[in-house]
Amino acid sequence: MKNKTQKALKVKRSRGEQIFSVFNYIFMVGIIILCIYPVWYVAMASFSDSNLLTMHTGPLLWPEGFNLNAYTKVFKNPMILKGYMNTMFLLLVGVPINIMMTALGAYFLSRKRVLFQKPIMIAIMFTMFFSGGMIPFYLNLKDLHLTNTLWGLIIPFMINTYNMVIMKTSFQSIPDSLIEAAQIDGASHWKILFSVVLPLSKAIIAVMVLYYGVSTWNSWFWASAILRERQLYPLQVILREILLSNDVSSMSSGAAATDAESIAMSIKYATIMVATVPILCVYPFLQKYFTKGTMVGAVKE
Amino acid sequence: MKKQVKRGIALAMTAVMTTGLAGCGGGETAATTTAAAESKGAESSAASNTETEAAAEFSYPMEAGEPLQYWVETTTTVSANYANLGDTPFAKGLMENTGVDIEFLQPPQGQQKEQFSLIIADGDLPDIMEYNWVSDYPGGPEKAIRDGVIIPLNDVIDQYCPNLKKYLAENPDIDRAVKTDDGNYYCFPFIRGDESLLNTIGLMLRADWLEELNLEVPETVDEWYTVLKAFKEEKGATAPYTFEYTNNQYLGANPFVAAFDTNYSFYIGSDDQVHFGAVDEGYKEYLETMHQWYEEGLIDADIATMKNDQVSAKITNGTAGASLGQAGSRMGTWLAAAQQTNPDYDLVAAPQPSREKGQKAEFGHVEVAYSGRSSAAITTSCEDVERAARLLDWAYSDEGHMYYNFGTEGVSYTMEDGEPIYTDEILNNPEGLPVSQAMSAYIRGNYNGPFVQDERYVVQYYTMDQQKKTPEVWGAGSSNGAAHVMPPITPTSDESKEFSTIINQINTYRDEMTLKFIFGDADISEFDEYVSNIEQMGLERALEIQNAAYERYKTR
Amino acid sequence: MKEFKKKVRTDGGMKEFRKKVRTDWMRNRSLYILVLPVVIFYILFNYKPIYGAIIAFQDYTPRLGISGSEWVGLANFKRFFSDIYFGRLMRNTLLLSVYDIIFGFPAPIILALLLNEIHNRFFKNVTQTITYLPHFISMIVVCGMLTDFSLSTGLFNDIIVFFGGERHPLLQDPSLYRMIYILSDIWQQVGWGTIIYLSALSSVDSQLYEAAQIDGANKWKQTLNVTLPGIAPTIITMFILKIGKLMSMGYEKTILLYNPSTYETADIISSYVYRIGLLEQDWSYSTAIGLFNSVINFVLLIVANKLSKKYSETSLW
Repeated sequence: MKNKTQKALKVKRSRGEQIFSVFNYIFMVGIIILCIYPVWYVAMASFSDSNLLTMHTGPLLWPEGFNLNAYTKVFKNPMILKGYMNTMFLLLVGVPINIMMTALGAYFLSRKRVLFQKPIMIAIMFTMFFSGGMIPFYLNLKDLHLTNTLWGLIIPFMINTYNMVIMKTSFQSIPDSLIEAAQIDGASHWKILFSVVLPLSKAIIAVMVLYYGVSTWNSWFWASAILRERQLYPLQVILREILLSNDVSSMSSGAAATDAESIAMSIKYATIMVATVPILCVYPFLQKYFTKGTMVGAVKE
Repeated sequence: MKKQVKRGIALAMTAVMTTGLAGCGGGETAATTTAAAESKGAESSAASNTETEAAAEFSYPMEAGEPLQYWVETTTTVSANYANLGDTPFAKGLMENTGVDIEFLQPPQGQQKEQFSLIIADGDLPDIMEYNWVSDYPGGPEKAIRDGVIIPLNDVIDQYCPNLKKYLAENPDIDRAVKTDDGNYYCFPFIRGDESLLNTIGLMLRADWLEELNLEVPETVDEWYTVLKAFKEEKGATAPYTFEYTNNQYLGANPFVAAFDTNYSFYIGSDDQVHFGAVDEGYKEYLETMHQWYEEGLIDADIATMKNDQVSAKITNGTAGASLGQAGSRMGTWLAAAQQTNPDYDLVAAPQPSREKGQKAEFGHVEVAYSGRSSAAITTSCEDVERAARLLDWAYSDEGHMYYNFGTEGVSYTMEDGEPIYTDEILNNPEGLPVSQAMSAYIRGNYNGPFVQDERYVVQYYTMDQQKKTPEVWGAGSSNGAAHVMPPITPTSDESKEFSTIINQINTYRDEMTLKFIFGDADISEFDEYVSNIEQMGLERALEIQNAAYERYKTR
Repeated sequence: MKEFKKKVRTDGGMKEFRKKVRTDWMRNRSLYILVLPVVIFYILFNYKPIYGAIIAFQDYTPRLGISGSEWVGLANFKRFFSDIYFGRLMRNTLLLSVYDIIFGFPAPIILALLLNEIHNRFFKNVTQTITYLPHFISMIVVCGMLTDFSLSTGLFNDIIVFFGGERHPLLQDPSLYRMIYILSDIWQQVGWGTIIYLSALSSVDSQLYEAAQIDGANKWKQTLNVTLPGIAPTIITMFILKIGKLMSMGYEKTILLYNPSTYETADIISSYVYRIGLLEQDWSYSTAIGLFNSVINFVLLIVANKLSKKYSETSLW
């Protein structure tokens, strides 16, 4: 009798679980669609004929009148390529510097028995929550001659405190014995950092590359504030001009010419694709690192 | 020695200038001045050692020197094909003709104000900055001079700018507009050289629909209502009237505000006093009407976020039947684009609507010859003021005038019967560039800059009949608007901070509330409260400052 | 800091302290040299601008510079407190943050818990990868898409109509603004946010589950009694970090999304600072507002840290 009820319970429970499981899978599929569809929409719109596109209502599943005109126009825009080059410069030069500086700070903070570590830590954490504000920050950049140069987008943003804390936590998980052994061998801290700690921290470095990479890729405000020469604009600034600038025609006053240029909504979408697809292609390959890396780093012990 | 000579000439020039100005009213004296200037020019060609000649010794191109930094807003028609204005044939030719190397600095589109503010904040300025010093520099040009941002140009113009000086002497109205109350010149102005260049924005609607529905071009607000209603019901237009609401240029030109005898902002009333339109009874009526139209779906539901691309899409695909825009960059573009797929598509310009049929509208959008826009000032950081001044002055010379408006002879235009005619490079670009983009490569005449815009450019550019009619339909005959336009007046530098604080607050509030009233988020019964809020923000004080400035302007 | 001073005091005076410093220097010299660039970085790019923020107490004029501008005391702060938008800015900033915590904070936890119940490895991996995707789309692009989709003719409205609703311009409606802001934030960050919780989940002792199963606990009970307590430290840490940033909503997304018709709910302190400082060139006033905001953040941080000490025994210092 007792057995029976238990059995019944178990069956019942597993049925409940089954139902839950089915819903869970359905839910996940829903999430997948939510995450992908906007991108899909943009992709399909970018391949569409502009005229048909503006007439179209309702969710777009396939291109309306497939063509690649929008892409031809986007690639003809001289700024897109320049923007790419500048962004690549920021990534290739900036991110290694980010990692280096962050590692220096994180290593210092992860060591034990250092007298002034705590005051320095506090001073650093303080800046996470207290800042001088936009205008003083800018005036300071100007003071240091970091305006109108791409270095002005690298040097003042070398360290993100939050990232440094994550890296520090990760460094702390490296067994002390390894470091002490190196110290006994007479290795300096520089040497320990580069030949012991960093080689053991590939996962966290991958995570940092991604964190800093994504924020470098996305940043636009300071670029638009400090750069005076259009040749220096990174991609996002160009994108903003194309996608969101409210004011594009306020300058072209008076009677401009008769333009046979067709009104191309699809150009906008093609621009989005060109500026987004590269990073979307890269991240899945880094994924295994960052899952592993944050596991070590982010959760404070 | 040389310096002394120069000073002597400056004195001589000032003398000429003063006589010219003293006899401002009479054309005779102006003519004398011109004659004097011309004779000087003539003398200069003959090399001799007299004092007068030392000044005229100067000729373009100048000797090579340090490059000048030139900050200027970005224009879409340029940035479509050139990464930087400096890459265009226009800029290259300008440098060649004047002998000055220019480094162009340009902000991202839509962020020029932000970048300008930061540049000013740090005090290390480019040599030349092109901006609207009257309305966009908080406090106006006199404040900019006092803040140590730009230099007063009186002496500079006397010494180095014979061309601009001559132009101003010949055009006393403009001369009055381009200086401050204290008599300081501060910029090399953008001037619309002809009346036909002053009425470039107006209403337009689908002519083919009107014909099909047997309707006339609407002239009153009521007729507009009927037409838009018909567009909605008969033609299925879901957003019968739409325009680029996010663009201040169009917002300020909004003919439906003017139809209720008022204005978004300051205007000169019939009592010759400055008024603030957005608190008028007429503004309330405007809001009521717009709210009704909004409720009935006669204006675009998305109006608050409308930008050029969406407006263009709607007006060309039949979602909208009426809009607001320029004859060239809007009407022409839309016609050309839409006719590709719909040969029947046609637009017609509509006059400024009035309240009663047959009555000439009291208000309407009219540009002033000098509005302050895109005017180049020399900053306090400029080390070689003469060089900068000479560079800018060139645009007002005959040669420079042609260059800015038509480009290089033989490349972008040819002379036929004494008239400049654009070549196929512009009108029929071999690379398939739209005309406005092809133009922007060679000239600045089709947008703006520190020069005098030539009407002969517009005549050639209104190629379609629909466009050619616009100057007449939108022009001075359609409204008394010109009587109400604010001249480029400026508060004193002491009042300027107070004024800009008040007006910024009021404008933000007005923009927000206007949309709320239209959308019905705020009921029109709250209008009185809205007015009293604006008054609390210091409207009276702002008007006091404006009126004083206007009085000073009149006595300049 | 306090602890540090205490140590100095108890160890008996300056002499002792000096000795300590000397030994520390002997031992950690290369470490201090190594951290020097970092310290310089923080001084130059964080502390120097904080010093620069004294323009909040001035009427800053570029020509006169920071050293020469006229001092106005607290005038700029007083002006902010009497600003007609003061109340609205505080409310909007706070509400947006609070909604972000109420809806944005639990979202990745829930998704992580659900993902944890997916046993098909391949499907789980694919789902994870795809949910990370929005994180890699830039803010500019996300906001560009949002503005387009929110039009009355846009994608969102097409979907609303499909489900029998009515067309409505979404980004023009102040009452919907916060929802759009928060939902798009969740959309963009939820997948990425799960990483941390998934790793915490994977470290929950599996024996605990077995024990619970033997006790006859169903899945729901297991979640409540085993899973959640297991990842609680992570949740608390993340929560405290979030509280500390309560009032520091950035301006970037706001200035890309708002328009005058939504100022009522959209305008927050940072976007106001942006408008005042960059569009109206009132640098001192703008800096004063920013400074005020920073002070609030700092107070919140201290409170958060206190909470942290009390509940999770972890603290930031």
